[in-house]
Amino acid sequence: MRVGRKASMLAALASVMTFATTAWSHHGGAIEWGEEARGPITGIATEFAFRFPHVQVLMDVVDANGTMAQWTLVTRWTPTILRSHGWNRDSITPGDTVTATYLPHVSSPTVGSIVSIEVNGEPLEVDFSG
Amino acid sequence: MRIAAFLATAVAASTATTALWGQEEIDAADFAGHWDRISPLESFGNTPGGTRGVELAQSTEAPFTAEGRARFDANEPGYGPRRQMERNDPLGRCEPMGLVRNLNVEIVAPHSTFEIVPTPGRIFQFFEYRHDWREIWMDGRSFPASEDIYPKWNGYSIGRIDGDTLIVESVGFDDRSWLDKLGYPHSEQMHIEERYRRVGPDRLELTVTITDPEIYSEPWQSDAKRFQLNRAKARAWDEQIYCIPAEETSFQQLIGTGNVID
Repeated sequence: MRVGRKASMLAALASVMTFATTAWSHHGGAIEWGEEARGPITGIATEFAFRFPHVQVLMDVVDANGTMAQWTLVTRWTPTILRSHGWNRDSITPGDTVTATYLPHVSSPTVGSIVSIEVNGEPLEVDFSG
Repeated sequence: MRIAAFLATAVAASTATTALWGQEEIDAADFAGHWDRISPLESFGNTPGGTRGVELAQSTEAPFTAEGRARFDANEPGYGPRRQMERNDPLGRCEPMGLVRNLNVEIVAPHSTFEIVPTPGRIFQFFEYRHDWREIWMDGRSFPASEDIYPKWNGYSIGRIDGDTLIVESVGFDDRSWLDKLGYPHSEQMHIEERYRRVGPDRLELTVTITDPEIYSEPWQSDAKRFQLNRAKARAWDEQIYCIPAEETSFQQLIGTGNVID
């Protein structure tokens, strides 16, 4: 089986990857982020998946024009590492207000790798790399 | 003459003591523990695209044979100078990574790269990412006869201590694995020599030499990979980073297309 993508995705990748990026090469491809943090953005959580390989937060974000988009934020670390730093499967529940800064995905404009995150105004730890 | 011989012996002893960081002797137990990779390369060697945020000396390409070059060209990685969206990295499908890639995986602290567990006559090496493991027989045995070797993902490994170095030789590999994320290939005939050397109380250095005439025209040596002992991990629960195809596929779709959790 081949992990294929549409030609449009290739074009999008080529057009966006003019900035410095860092990759998570343990996924075989396409998990690549800009190196400059953006945000913060604030949204309302709709789903929280505390599972491997990386924890995922889905939330609705309304931009300055009043347009709502569904964003996906992922953590760099696994649930096991996060669990040892205070996270659990109930750290975020639908309806929570989530504010985060993030590294932007190279080709998916509403996907980011979490740099910092607050849930209902309370921070959750995400940087353990020392 | 006697004085010269004495001085030579003294110098040799001094060098050995330095290499053994103060210990008189070294054995398999001295390699025990959780080791986190701290060197920057995530590739087998210092080949183009192998660095992660650190500029090293000029990279050089592998010494391919014609067959090796063809196999390399057929491998379509998602990373490095040949990265593309149409890719066939076996890692993305949760297939076994194979021994060499287990040693080169991107994982960094607080993840553990591997744990070495010496037991009488055998060393176990547990790789945290993908929760894989291999055995290294230390009982003096030889490899099975060639007709008895069936290719395996992590091959057949025998080891010995030589001075301050643990030397591990391995044969009998399944050739579907890549050496690293850049798509460097190997054949079933690949022979690996790993040399693990304790270079400090908490430091381990590893070099790997591949001899695979079908793919590489000469023995190809890796960069020196450095690891730091993670003493805290010895008392911590394991992480169990499996690759679950359903979760991996879902995650890749989520990232690639945005906003899809199956």
